[in-house]
Amino acid sequence: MTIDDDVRTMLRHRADAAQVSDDAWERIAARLDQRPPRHVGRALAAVAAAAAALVAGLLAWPDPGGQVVLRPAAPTTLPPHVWAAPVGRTLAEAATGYVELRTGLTGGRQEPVMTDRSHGTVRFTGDGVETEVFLHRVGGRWLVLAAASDLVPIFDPSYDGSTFAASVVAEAAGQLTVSVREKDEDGASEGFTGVFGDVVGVRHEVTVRHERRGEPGIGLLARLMLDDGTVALAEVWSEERDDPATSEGHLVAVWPATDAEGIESLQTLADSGERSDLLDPRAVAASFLTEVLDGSAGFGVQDFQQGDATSGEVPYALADGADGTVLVRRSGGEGAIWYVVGATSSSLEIVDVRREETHVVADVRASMDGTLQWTGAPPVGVRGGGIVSIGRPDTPVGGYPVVVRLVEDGTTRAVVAELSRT
Amino acid sequence: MMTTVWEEPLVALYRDRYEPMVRLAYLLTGDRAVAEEIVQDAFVNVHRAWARATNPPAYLRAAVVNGARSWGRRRNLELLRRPAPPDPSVLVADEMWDALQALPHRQRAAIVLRFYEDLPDARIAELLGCREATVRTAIHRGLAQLRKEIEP
Repeated sequence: MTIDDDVRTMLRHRADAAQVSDDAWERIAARLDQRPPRHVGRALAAVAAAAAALVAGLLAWPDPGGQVVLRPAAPTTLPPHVWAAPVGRTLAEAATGYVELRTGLTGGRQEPVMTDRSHGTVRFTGDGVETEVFLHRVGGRWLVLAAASDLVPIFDPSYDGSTFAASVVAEAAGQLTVSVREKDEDGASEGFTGVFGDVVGVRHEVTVRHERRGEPGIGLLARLMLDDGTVALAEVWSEERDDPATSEGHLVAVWPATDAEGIESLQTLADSGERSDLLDPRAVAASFLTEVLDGSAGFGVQDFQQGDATSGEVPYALADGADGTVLVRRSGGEGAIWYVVGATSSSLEIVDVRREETHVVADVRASMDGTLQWTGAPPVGVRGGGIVSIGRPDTPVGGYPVVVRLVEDGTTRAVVAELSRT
Repeated sequence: MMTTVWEEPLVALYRDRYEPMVRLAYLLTGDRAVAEEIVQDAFVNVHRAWARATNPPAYLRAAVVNGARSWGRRRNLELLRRPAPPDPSVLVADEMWDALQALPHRQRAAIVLRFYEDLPDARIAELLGCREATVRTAIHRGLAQLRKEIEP
């Protein structure tokens, strides 16, 4: 018997030990009798319409690769990535170029999605390629951060400066090839070194261990060719530092500004009733605006518009300024707390965020005159229609909250926020 | 059992799904009394959301899974402050069962939903609020841990 069979048998045996009390319904009915009469909620059609509007809004955002950037940033450090597209490519063009480079195929049907102003994903399905490419725009140039496929997932990649380790699982039968890649001292790729290549069955696992002391990073490329010729592609790049997506201490929310562990702590408070305000996405958006504006402007928020089970937005309007949306998310379904991951504005836009040695710098475009303010940064004047840079001293790794206000005569006219990964 | 007109669908759901959901909650928490509490809470939530739940049985299951997760979080906090004494009513020691209860919620829930509820990964991903690849990762890691615990 396999472990799967053992687990199945154990669960069925244990389930029989669960007991049902004789008065269960009476207890439920008693609690229902104590509740106020329910009212008919919104129809699911309204929720679906809001979801469609949210998706349409995302797709309607300007394609960063196609727009003229008035003052392109010149980053001195780049995030870990597996490939950098030539300057001027769009999101889809960058992803297609990467897929062609790695597979020799054109990629077939694509589904590009902008997750925020500088991040996007492109999913390839059908016509020979199965993969999802994750991209980040830095200084007007798209970087491919990684590629992932459900058919050939890469587990636990890590590099501690001398040993790279990971495991690759083939979720379907086919020809599996796994390669590692190093960079020479000048930063250029030395090409791939094959570590595994064979025909494998379903759920075949390959453990990779590559010894290479002193390299800044190691890359892993996995390709699984199925019997019908489809190529599933996965690639990651690991550097000698904590993965900002998983390490504790790296912010995952703009508000409350906390890391994954902090979110868990707040969740327990919400579960106990102490912070039940965090269960209401509209209240969370209002609390975020209250804190950010700090009395410098009145505002109003509209009803929460749910995009899917774990994300949505709350439209807002400043009393004497621009309107926009607060983007909220939660890490689970019903009962999970909501938190703010960004805020858009009709009059303010964060074009780019980069790290420059000892500072974090944001390039911001404003549609009206005023002064940009960001806690910890010297204020910067801006003319309507222009882009200026505002920076504050810090050297973050991973998620970093950028919250910028446009102020005129002491009143906030616009506010924008995002959680950037510098 | 007295019922009014608007309770009839809920009663029907109770008759059909209460016991299976208690079994599910028990597998997720390892505690019989807690399992019934979670499921009763879930029925109250289903009643509250009845107007917008297109599939009440699925909503009920989601509420049970989330209830088990919330209970697990509170329990973890309590264990940090005051380790729980052994439960004298526990059945004969079962290493795999103990190892399952020691898994993180997501891994445990993914394993129970696949191997007991026989749900496809896509449905599990919806219930757990994550991607399908994350479900497979959770199951892969959970089974690896179970295998490690029970192998001599």
